[in-house]
Amino acid sequence: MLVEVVKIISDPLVVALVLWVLGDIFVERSGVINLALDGIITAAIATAFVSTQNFGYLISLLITVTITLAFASLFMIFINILHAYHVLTGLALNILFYGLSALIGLRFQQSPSITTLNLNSLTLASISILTVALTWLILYKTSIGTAIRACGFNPRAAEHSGVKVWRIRFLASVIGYIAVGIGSYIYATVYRGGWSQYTGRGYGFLAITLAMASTWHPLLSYPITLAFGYLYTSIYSLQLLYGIPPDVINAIPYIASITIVTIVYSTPLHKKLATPRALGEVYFREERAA
Amino acid sequence: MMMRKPFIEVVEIYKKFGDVIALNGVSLEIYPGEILAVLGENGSGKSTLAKILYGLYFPDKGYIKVDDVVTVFSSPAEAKNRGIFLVSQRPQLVDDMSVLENVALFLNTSPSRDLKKKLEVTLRDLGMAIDVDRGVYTLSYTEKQFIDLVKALITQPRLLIVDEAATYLPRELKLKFLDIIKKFAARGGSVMYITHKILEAIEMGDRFIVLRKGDVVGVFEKGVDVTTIRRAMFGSEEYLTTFKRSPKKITHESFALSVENLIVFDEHGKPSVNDVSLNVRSGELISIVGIAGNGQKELGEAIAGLRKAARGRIMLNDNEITHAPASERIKKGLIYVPEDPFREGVAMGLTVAENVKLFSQSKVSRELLDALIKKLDVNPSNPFINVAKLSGGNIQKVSLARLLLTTPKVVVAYSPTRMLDERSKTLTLSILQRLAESGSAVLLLSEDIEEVLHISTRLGVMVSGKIVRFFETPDLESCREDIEKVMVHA
Repeated sequence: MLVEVVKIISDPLVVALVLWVLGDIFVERSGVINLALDGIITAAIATAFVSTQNFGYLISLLITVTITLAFASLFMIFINILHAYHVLTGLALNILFYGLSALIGLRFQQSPSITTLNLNSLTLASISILTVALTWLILYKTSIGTAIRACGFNPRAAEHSGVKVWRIRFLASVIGYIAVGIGSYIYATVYRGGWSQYTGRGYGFLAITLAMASTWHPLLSYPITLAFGYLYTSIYSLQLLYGIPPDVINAIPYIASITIVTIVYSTPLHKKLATPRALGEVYFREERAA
Repeated sequence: MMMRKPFIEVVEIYKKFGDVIALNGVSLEIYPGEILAVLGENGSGKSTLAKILYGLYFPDKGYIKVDDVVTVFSSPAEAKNRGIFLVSQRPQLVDDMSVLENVALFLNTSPSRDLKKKLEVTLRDLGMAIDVDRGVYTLSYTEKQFIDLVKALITQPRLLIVDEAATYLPRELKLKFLDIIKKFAARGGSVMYITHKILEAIEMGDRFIVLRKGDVVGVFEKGVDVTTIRRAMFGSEEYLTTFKRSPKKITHESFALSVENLIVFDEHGKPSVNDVSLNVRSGELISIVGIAGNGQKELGEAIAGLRKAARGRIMLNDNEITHAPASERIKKGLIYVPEDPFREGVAMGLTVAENVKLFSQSKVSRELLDALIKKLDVNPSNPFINVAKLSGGNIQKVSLARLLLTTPKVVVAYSPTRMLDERSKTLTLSILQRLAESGSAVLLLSEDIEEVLHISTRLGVMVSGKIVRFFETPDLESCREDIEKVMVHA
């Protein structure tokens, strides 16, 4: 049992997933529906892959995070400055980023694989656990975190309290997308070590679902992501042991995450946990309202 | 007085929303230690002015001088840094966070133990026992309003803008609220006290400024009388109609609307309507009054079909409608007038004409539109203007058009006059009264005792989700003190 747990918390795919979920929690806690996440992750993975091939691991990490932040800024310009509708902007940008990922990967790759980066279990586990702790501390124990959550609950009241809503939403996305960038880097260099077109597509939506299932709470998100990760990475033994068809096996983690969302939202549990009520609210200060 | 330097000067401020002029070159100044009362009817620009001073709106033209330095605020954060704070009509708190977190948010610090102590001490000094770890959603409207004021005072502001914040508090609490503000001014703070209630302004103000349609139409010193201010506010027009409760001539024995043992939960799973029963006959106008947040809103929404009834029954002319959808209730002649015209009353972004069409679910002729606009005194009177460009009071008038398209069997209205000035308020109440006289059953849910006292045939007081007492005498005004006592102390 303990071995299983250690295996899961130090699994590079699970670590990447934890960082993506936490990144999403930062963004959505500030009230922005983060649907561009999937495209940005796909493009960030391609970036990490080609920059590792061209510049080595360390510079690649810097480049990946920087480029991820640039992508996120584009998304935030639409939402915070042009007051665009979150869902449509996110979906439209996804298509752009999918294309961009293919362009980056195909244009700059030298070969279809790289040597994976060897990080030991302790390092990998520490990265995710520290990020969980840091996310919780920032969101719940600092003034910036209070402001981020206020923007997710009620941007108008936050503005009245002297919070510059667009700045805080920008800041939340910067913090969140640093985690997303690092997660994508770990996925590309530690876990995958290779790239083909659209590698990583779908994980963004998965991260959004897991964040929602954990009611955007960083501490709750960790066990939920681990549970998902366990099903996702270890379940193939079922195929060997019982001969369950692979199509069914592949669907199980997703069915499990839908089940978790259903359980959380159909029981009084989610009422106890304050969720960002203003998620997706296009906030424009000069609108005349009470 | 003239020798002193003003803390803040407003110089020739203009602000337009589309084609609607909200402020047309307004100038004023406020001195330290002074309470400047700003009066005006709906759409006169009072709230717009407050929001510009607090950095929520950016003026089209003009500027502000703070301590003789020209400034234009682009956000409340900047106004706050200069010691300016707005306490608005609606407490601007984040419901899902605790009192402590809200104050921390406002002070831009982390919700630490030191802050908690400081806040507890401040609250105790003001005689308020509120657990600062409680979620704001568990507080009553009054408590929220006080917290909003207290969090402003902790920062020791230099100018406090009070925008109708005390208007709907019951007398006892209102006096306490106004007392805190007066003390603040006595210690040298400046106050801009915005209200449409002339008596309240006279009680509070050291100087008076009257706005009408974006223009300053009168500046008065202390000692001015009611009539002078009233004339400035409304021009020479005669606006006051006195209410006479029509003698009861209820012919119907059966109830048009009856509610039996209704229980309704709020967003946080608390029972906000707790075992309420009431009956309204055709031709009756019954009021339920209580301090905001005691369940009137949820009661209205449950009757309208906008909120689920957890238990109990709602009957419309002996047909059960407890679980009928809102659209079916409207078809059966039950019309609900919500309080908040922005979110619930009209569809923002559509024109006045389109909204009226939406209410009637059929074609509306130009003649009917013009007649409605004239009757409701909507300003500007162009039916093809986007409602989002109108002021709050005028949007509420558009929302009231839903009552005038048919003769409804039952009207349920929740604080319909909250955003309105005296004239529009009188108009609204007379519409409700006329509907009752012509045979509708009217249920008026309210937070404002002034609103209901003169027109109801029967009055219930709602406290913590229960109707604790009904008053029924021909002369409700004489029970005013009793009613207020029940509202506060039950």
